[in-house]
Amino acid sequence: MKIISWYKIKRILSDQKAVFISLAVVFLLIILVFAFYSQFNKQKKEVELLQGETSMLGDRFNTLKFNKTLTQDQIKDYNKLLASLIPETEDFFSIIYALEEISTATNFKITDYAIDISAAIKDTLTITVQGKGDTNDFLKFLQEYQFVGGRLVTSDKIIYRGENPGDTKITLNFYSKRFSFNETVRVPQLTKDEIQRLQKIKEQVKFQFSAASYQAADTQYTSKKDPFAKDELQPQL
Amino acid sequence: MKTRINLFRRKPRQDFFSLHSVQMKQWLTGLGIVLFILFIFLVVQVVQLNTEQQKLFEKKETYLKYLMNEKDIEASVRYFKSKQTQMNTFLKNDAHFLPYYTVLKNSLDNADTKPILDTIDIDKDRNTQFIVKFENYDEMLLFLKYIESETFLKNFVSISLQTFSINKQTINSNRYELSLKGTFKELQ
Repeated sequence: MKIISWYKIKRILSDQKAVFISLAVVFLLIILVFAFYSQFNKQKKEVELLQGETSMLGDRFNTLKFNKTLTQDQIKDYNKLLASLIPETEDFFSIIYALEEISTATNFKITDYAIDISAAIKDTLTITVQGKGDTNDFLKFLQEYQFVGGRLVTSDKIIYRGENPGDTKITLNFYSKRFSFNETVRVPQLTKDEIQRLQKIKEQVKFQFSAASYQAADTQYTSKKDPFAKDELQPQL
Repeated sequence: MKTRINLFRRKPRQDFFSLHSVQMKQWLTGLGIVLFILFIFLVVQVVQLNTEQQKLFEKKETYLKYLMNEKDIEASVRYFKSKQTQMNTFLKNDAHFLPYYTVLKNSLDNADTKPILDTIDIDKDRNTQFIVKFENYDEMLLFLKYIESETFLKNFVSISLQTFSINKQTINSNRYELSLKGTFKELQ
């Protein structure tokens, strides 16, 4: 028994052309809507990602532009100063030089000093100095010892003998620390106060910067294809 | 009985499409219009997103070009900030002797008696120990009253008298010594 005859189908198709065409159009529209919706979603995610990247780069761009204006192209000089205050590695000669500079600048005579290398902790070298000078010299010393020697100096203990100024004992700390470059950290925005402070320190430090004292972070390098290739890294003799 | 067939009579069709064709046309038209509007809306959105994406690409390119040209400055700024942070951290180890010394000196100068500040020791935690000397016993007594006053105590978190001594070798001056120990209040 035939439920639907071919004749019937043909008749329905010819009678209801408009309905079937409408159905086809609606079906096509559904496909198009879904296709465009998925395209819209995909593009929206891409744009959001791009917005994030652009915003990050924009921050870097604005910060750098601001920093450049603020430092008036003196950033390398400031870095030389900072590299001198806190060198990458410890340098005993600069410590002795700094002690002499402090002594000369403040008139507070450093008569004796002792370095206890065994007690040195990471990044810090402690020196106990004995000094001589009247109250004014001592006060000048207290005002200037932190930067005037060209090295950053802090003191965590001072024993001042008012009646016997020759017995004044001061514990001085000298610092050295490596700079570690971390690209993932945001480019910091410098402030006017920071620059002014550095400018003041710069005015306090009287020595000349040597060209070798500071080297800018090297950004010009070639990538190495074979890390075990012998020809690329030759020791400099 | 004769059976007649009326060839002009049209038998109403009973299939689904014939029965519901009008409603189906109405529904399909309505649905079609809604879908068309949705389609147009999505097309407009996609075009807008495309335009936005292009603008962002251009912006990104501009930023990248600038950053590439100024990468040395950027590296310098990073170095600057890193060293400055190191400096600020290390400066926390400083005893800041001068401001606390000045506070103590001013406090002593405000006393009715004029004690002589002999030895002073200040560490980075603001702990202090100092010795003051007096010419005579009365002056020392006056000073003891003074150090209990608010004028003197306001500068310290705590202060206590450690020792009292008489230096018999010094006959004429500064025979009496007081040793005090305490902690300064943090200066703003």
